[in-house]
Amino acid sequence: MARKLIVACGSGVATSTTVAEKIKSKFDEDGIDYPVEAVDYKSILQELPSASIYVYIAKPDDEVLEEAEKLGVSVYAGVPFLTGMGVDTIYEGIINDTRK
Amino acid sequence: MYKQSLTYIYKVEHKNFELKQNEGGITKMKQMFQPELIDLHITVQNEEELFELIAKRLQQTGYVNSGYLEGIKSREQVFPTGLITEYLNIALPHSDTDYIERPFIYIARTTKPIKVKQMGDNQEMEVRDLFFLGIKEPTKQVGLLQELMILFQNEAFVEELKAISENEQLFNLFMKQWEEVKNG
Repeated sequence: MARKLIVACGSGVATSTTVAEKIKSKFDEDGIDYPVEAVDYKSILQELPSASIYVYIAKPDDEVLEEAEKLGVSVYAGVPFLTGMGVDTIYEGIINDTRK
Repeated sequence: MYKQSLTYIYKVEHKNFELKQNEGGITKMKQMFQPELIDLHITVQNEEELFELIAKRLQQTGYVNSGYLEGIKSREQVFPTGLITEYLNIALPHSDTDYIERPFIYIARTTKPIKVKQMGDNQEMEVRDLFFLGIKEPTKQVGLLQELMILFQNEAFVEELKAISENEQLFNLFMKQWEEVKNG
Protein backbone atom coordinates (compact mmCIF):
# COMPACT_ATOMS: atom_id res chain seq x y z
CA MET A 1 0.00 0.00 0.00
CA ALA A 2 1.30 3.42 -1.02
CA ARG A 3 1.87 5.84 1.80
CA LYS A 4 1.50 9.42 0.60
CA LEU A 5 -1.00 12.26 0.92
CA ILE A 6 -1.58 14.23 -2.25
CA VAL A 7 -3.36 17.58 -2.61
CA ALA A 8 -4.65 18.45 -6.08
CA CYS A 9 -5.84 21.79 -7.45
CA GLY A 10 -6.34 23.24 -10.90
CA SER A 11 -2.74 23.97 -11.74
CA GLY A 12 -0.71 23.36 -8.63
CA VAL A 13 -0.07 27.13 -8.64
CA ALA A 14 -1.48 28.36 -5.40
CA THR A 15 -4.19 26.54 -3.55
CA SER A 16 -2.85 23.00 -3.48
CA THR A 17 0.57 24.21 -2.34
CA THR A 18 -1.04 26.29 0.39
CA VAL A 19 -3.19 23.41 1.59
CA ALA A 20 -0.24 20.99 1.40
CA GLU A 21 1.85 23.36 3.52
CA LYS A 22 -0.98 23.70 5.98
CA ILE A 23 -1.33 19.93 6.34
CA LYS A 24 2.45 19.53 6.61
CA SER A 25 2.66 22.01 9.46
CA LYS A 26 -0.27 20.36 11.26
CA PHE A 27 1.48 17.00 10.86
CA ASP A 28 4.68 18.52 12.26
CA GLU A 29 2.83 19.92 15.25
CA ASP A 30 1.25 16.55 15.94
CA GLY A 31 4.46 14.62 15.35
CA ILE A 32 3.09 12.76 12.33
CA ASP A 33 5.72 11.68 9.84
CA TYR A 34 3.89 11.31 6.55
CA PRO A 35 4.76 12.45 3.02
CA VAL A 36 2.61 15.28 1.64
CA GLU A 37 2.72 16.50 -1.94
CA ALA A 38 0.86 19.13 -4.03
CA VAL A 39 -0.03 17.87 -7.49
CA ASP A 40 -1.74 19.13 -10.61
CA TYR A 41 -5.32 17.92 -11.06
CA LYS A 42 -4.60 17.23 -14.73
CA SER A 43 -2.24 14.43 -13.72
CA ILE A 44 -4.41 13.07 -10.89
CA LEU A 45 -5.05 9.68 -12.52
CA GLN A 46 -1.30 9.04 -12.77
CA GLU A 47 -0.78 10.24 -9.19
CA LEU A 48 -3.50 8.18 -7.49
CA PRO A 49 -1.75 4.79 -7.61
CA SER A 50 1.15 6.15 -5.57
CA ALA A 51 -1.12 7.79 -2.99
CA SER A 52 -3.04 6.63 0.07
CA ILE A 53 -4.88 9.88 0.85
CA TYR A 54 -6.23 12.30 -1.76
CA VAL A 55 -7.22 15.81 -0.66
CA TYR A 56 -9.08 17.61 -3.41
CA ILE A 57 -9.34 21.33 -4.10
CA ALA A 58 -10.52 20.96 -7.68
CA LYS A 59 -13.82 19.06 -7.70
CA PRO A 60 -12.93 15.50 -8.76
CA ASP A 61 -15.00 14.04 -11.59
CA ASP A 62 -16.66 10.63 -11.30
CA GLU A 63 -13.91 8.81 -13.13
CA VAL A 64 -11.35 10.06 -10.62
CA LEU A 65 -13.53 9.15 -7.65
CA GLU A 66 -14.12 5.65 -9.01
CA GLU A 67 -10.41 5.18 -9.56
CA ALA A 68 -9.67 6.33 -6.01
CA GLU A 69 -12.22 3.88 -4.63
CA LYS A 70 -10.80 1.04 -6.69
CA LEU A 71 -7.31 1.79 -5.41
CA GLY A 72 -8.50 2.19 -1.82
CA VAL A 73 -7.38 5.82 -1.65
CA SER A 74 -9.26 7.88 0.96
CA VAL A 75 -10.71 11.12 -0.39
CA TYR A 76 -11.12 14.36 1.59
CA ALA A 77 -12.22 17.93 0.78
CA GLY A 78 -9.32 20.38 0.97
CA VAL A 79 -11.19 23.70 0.92
CA PRO A 80 -11.80 23.65 4.71
CA PHE A 81 -8.02 23.92 5.16
CA LEU A 82 -8.27 27.29 3.39
CA THR A 83 -11.40 28.65 5.01
CA GLY A 84 -10.95 27.04 8.41
CA MET A 85 -14.59 25.95 8.36
CA GLY A 86 -15.14 22.33 9.31
CA VAL A 87 -11.43 21.61 9.23
CA ASP A 88 -11.25 19.68 12.51
CA THR A 89 -13.50 16.83 11.41
CA ILE A 90 -11.64 16.44 8.14
CA TYR A 91 -8.23 16.58 9.77
CA GLU A 92 -9.29 13.94 12.28
CA GLY A 93 -10.26 11.62 9.44
CA ILE A 94 -6.94 12.22 7.74
CA ILE A 95 -5.01 11.45 10.94
CA ASN A 96 -6.88 8.16 11.29
CA ASP A 97 -5.92 7.29 7.74
CA THR A 98 -2.26 8.03 8.34
CA ARG A 99 -2.31 5.35 11.05
CA LYS A 100 -3.61 2.67 8.72
CA MET B 1 26.32 18.68 27.39
CA TYR B 2 28.47 19.80 24.49
CA LYS B 3 26.13 18.07 22.07
CA GLN B 4 23.14 19.70 23.64
CA SER B 5 24.51 23.18 23.25
CA LEU B 6 25.34 22.51 19.62
CA THR B 7 21.79 21.43 19.01
CA TYR B 8 20.64 24.54 20.78
CA ILE B 9 22.84 26.75 18.62
CA TYR B 10 21.57 25.00 15.54
CA LYS B 11 17.97 25.53 16.61
CA VAL B 12 18.51 29.22 17.31
CA GLU B 13 20.31 29.69 13.99
CA HIS B 14 17.63 27.81 12.20
CA LYS B 15 14.92 29.88 13.82
CA ASN B 16 16.74 33.07 12.80
CA PHE B 17 17.02 31.76 9.29
CA GLU B 18 13.32 30.99 9.19
CA LEU B 19 12.48 34.42 10.52
CA LYS B 20 14.66 36.07 7.89
CA GLN B 21 13.08 34.01 5.16
CA ASN B 22 9.68 34.89 6.47
CA GLU B 23 10.58 38.56 6.54
CA GLY B 24 11.79 38.45 2.93
CA GLY B 25 8.57 36.73 1.95
CA ILE B 26 6.44 39.36 3.61
CA THR B 27 8.38 42.20 1.98
CA LYS B 28 7.82 40.55 -1.39
CA MET B 29 4.18 40.02 -0.57
CA LYS B 30 3.76 43.66 0.49
CA GLN B 31 5.09 44.75 -2.89
CA MET B 32 2.26 42.88 -4.59
CA PHE B 33 -0.23 45.31 -3.04
CA GLN B 34 -0.49 48.71 -4.71
CA PRO B 35 -3.03 51.47 -4.12
CA GLU B 36 -3.80 51.57 -7.85
CA LEU B 37 -4.59 47.85 -7.74
CA ILE B 38 -7.58 48.36 -5.50
CA ASP B 39 -11.04 49.35 -6.68
CA LEU B 40 -13.90 49.11 -4.21
CA HIS B 41 -16.55 50.64 -6.45
CA ILE B 42 -16.99 48.46 -9.50
CA THR B 43 -20.32 48.26 -11.24
CA VAL B 44 -20.61 45.21 -13.46
CA GLN B 45 -23.43 42.83 -14.32
CA ASN B 46 -21.53 39.60 -13.96
CA GLU B 47 -18.24 37.79 -13.51
CA GLU B 48 -17.36 37.98 -17.20
CA GLU B 49 -17.68 41.77 -17.30
CA LEU B 50 -15.57 42.04 -14.18
CA PHE B 51 -12.85 39.79 -15.61
CA GLU B 52 -12.77 41.85 -18.80
CA LEU B 53 -12.42 45.09 -16.87
CA ILE B 54 -9.71 43.87 -14.51
CA ALA B 55 -7.77 42.13 -17.30
CA LYS B 56 -7.79 45.35 -19.34
CA ARG B 57 -6.48 47.39 -16.42
CA LEU B 58 -3.80 44.84 -15.55
CA GLN B 59 -2.65 44.59 -19.12
CA GLN B 60 -2.46 48.38 -19.51
CA THR B 61 -0.25 48.62 -16.43
CA GLY B 62 2.00 45.77 -17.54
CA TYR B 63 1.13 43.21 -14.89
CA VAL B 64 -0.24 40.62 -17.32
CA ASN B 65 0.04 39.77 -21.00
CA SER B 66 -2.65 39.44 -23.62
CA GLY B 67 -3.42 35.81 -22.75
CA TYR B 68 -4.50 36.65 -19.20
CA LEU B 69 -8.20 37.29 -19.80
CA GLU B 70 -8.68 33.98 -21.57
CA GLY B 71 -6.47 32.42 -18.89
CA ILE B 72 -8.64 33.40 -15.92
CA LYS B 73 -11.91 32.87 -17.78
CA SER B 74 -11.13 29.32 -18.81
CA ARG B 75 -9.50 28.40 -15.54
CA GLU B 76 -12.35 29.76 -13.43
CA GLN B 77 -14.80 27.74 -15.49
CA VAL B 78 -13.07 24.44 -14.79
CA PHE B 79 -11.55 25.27 -11.40
CA PRO B 80 -13.65 27.98 -9.74
CA THR B 81 -12.23 29.95 -6.80
CA GLY B 82 -15.21 31.16 -4.77
CA LEU B 83 -14.82 30.59 -1.02
CA ILE B 84 -17.37 30.91 1.74
CA THR B 85 -15.36 31.88 4.77
CA GLU B 86 -16.85 32.43 8.20
CA TYR B 87 -17.23 36.21 7.92
CA LEU B 88 -17.03 36.95 4.20
CA ASN B 89 -17.63 35.41 0.79
CA ILE B 90 -14.61 35.86 -1.43
CA ALA B 91 -13.20 34.68 -4.74
CA LEU B 92 -9.55 34.36 -5.72
CA PRO B 93 -9.40 34.29 -9.51
CA HIS B 94 -5.97 33.35 -10.81
CA SER B 95 -4.43 32.12 -14.03
CA ASP B 96 -1.49 29.94 -14.95
CA THR B 97 1.86 31.63 -14.39
CA ASP B 98 2.48 32.08 -18.15
CA TYR B 99 0.19 35.09 -18.33
CA ILE B 100 1.71 36.98 -15.42
CA GLU B 101 4.40 39.55 -16.15
CA ARG B 102 4.81 40.97 -12.65
CA PRO B 103 3.34 39.49 -9.46
CA PHE B 104 0.34 41.38 -8.07
CA ILE B 105 -2.85 41.19 -6.12
CA TYR B 106 -5.82 43.16 -7.42
CA ILE B 107 -8.62 43.81 -4.94
CA ALA B 108 -12.05 44.36 -6.49
CA ARG B 109 -15.36 45.01 -4.76
CA THR B 110 -18.51 45.09 -6.84
CA THR B 111 -21.40 47.40 -5.99
CA LYS B 112 -23.82 44.48 -6.42
CA PRO B 113 -23.14 40.81 -5.64
CA ILE B 114 -22.15 38.70 -8.63
CA LYS B 115 -22.50 34.97 -9.09
CA VAL B 116 -19.41 32.76 -9.00
CA LYS B 117 -18.81 29.10 -8.29
CA GLN B 118 -17.32 27.62 -5.19
CA MET B 119 -13.92 26.02 -5.09
CA GLY B 120 -14.11 22.31 -4.34
CA ASP B 121 -17.75 21.62 -5.16
CA ASN B 122 -18.58 24.06 -8.01
CA GLN B 123 -21.81 25.19 -6.27
CA GLU B 124 -23.11 28.64 -7.16
CA MET B 125 -22.55 31.42 -4.63
CA GLU B 126 -22.63 35.22 -4.49
CA VAL B 127 -19.66 37.43 -3.89
CA ARG B 128 -18.66 41.08 -3.85
CA ASP B 129 -15.05 40.87 -2.73
CA LEU B 130 -12.65 39.37 -5.25
CA PHE B 131 -8.89 39.09 -4.90
CA PHE B 132 -7.15 38.50 -8.21
CA LEU B 133 -3.89 36.70 -7.51
CA GLY B 134 -1.06 37.25 -9.97
CA ILE B 135 1.30 34.46 -9.07
CA LYS B 136 4.44 34.17 -11.14
CA GLU B 137 6.63 31.97 -8.96
CA PRO B 138 4.43 29.57 -7.00
CA THR B 139 7.16 28.47 -4.58
CA LYS B 140 8.00 32.06 -3.63
CA GLN B 141 4.47 33.39 -3.50
CA VAL B 142 2.75 30.56 -1.73
CA GLY B 143 2.97 32.52 1.52
CA LEU B 144 0.59 35.13 0.13
CA LEU B 145 -2.43 32.87 -0.02
CA GLN B 146 -1.57 31.39 3.35
CA GLU B 147 -1.40 34.81 5.00
CA LEU B 148 -4.57 35.97 3.24
CA MET B 149 -6.50 32.94 4.44
CA ILE B 150 -5.31 33.54 8.00
CA LEU B 151 -6.57 37.12 7.71
CA PHE B 152 -9.98 36.06 6.43
CA GLN B 153 -10.40 33.95 9.55
CA ASN B 154 -9.71 36.98 11.72
CA GLU B 155 -13.08 38.53 12.54
CA ALA B 156 -11.72 41.93 13.58
CA PHE B 157 -9.79 42.25 10.34
CA VAL B 158 -12.74 41.23 8.17
CA GLU B 159 -15.05 43.67 9.96
CA GLU B 160 -12.55 46.44 9.31
CA LEU B 161 -12.19 45.38 5.69
CA LYS B 162 -15.96 45.41 5.18
CA ALA B 163 -16.35 48.85 6.76
CA ILE B 164 -13.74 50.45 4.50
CA SER B 165 -15.01 52.07 1.32
CA GLU B 166 -11.93 54.04 0.23
CA ASN B 167 -9.26 52.31 -1.85
CA GLU B 168 -6.38 54.04 -0.09
CA GLN B 169 -7.73 53.07 3.33
CA LEU B 170 -7.87 49.43 2.37
CA PHE B 171 -4.31 49.62 1.10
CA ASN B 172 -3.24 51.06 4.45
CA LEU B 173 -5.11 48.36 6.33
CA PHE B 174 -3.17 45.65 4.49
CA MET B 175 0.14 47.45 4.98
CA LYS B 176 -0.52 47.77 8.70
CA GLN B 177 -1.47 44.12 8.81
CA TRP B 178 1.74 42.92 7.11
CA GLU B 179 3.84 45.02 9.47
CA GLU B 180 2.17 43.24 12.35
CA VAL B 181 2.78 39.85 10.77
CA LYS B 182 6.43 40.78 10.20
CA ASN B 183 6.94 41.94 13.76
CA GLY B 184 5.09 38.94 15.12
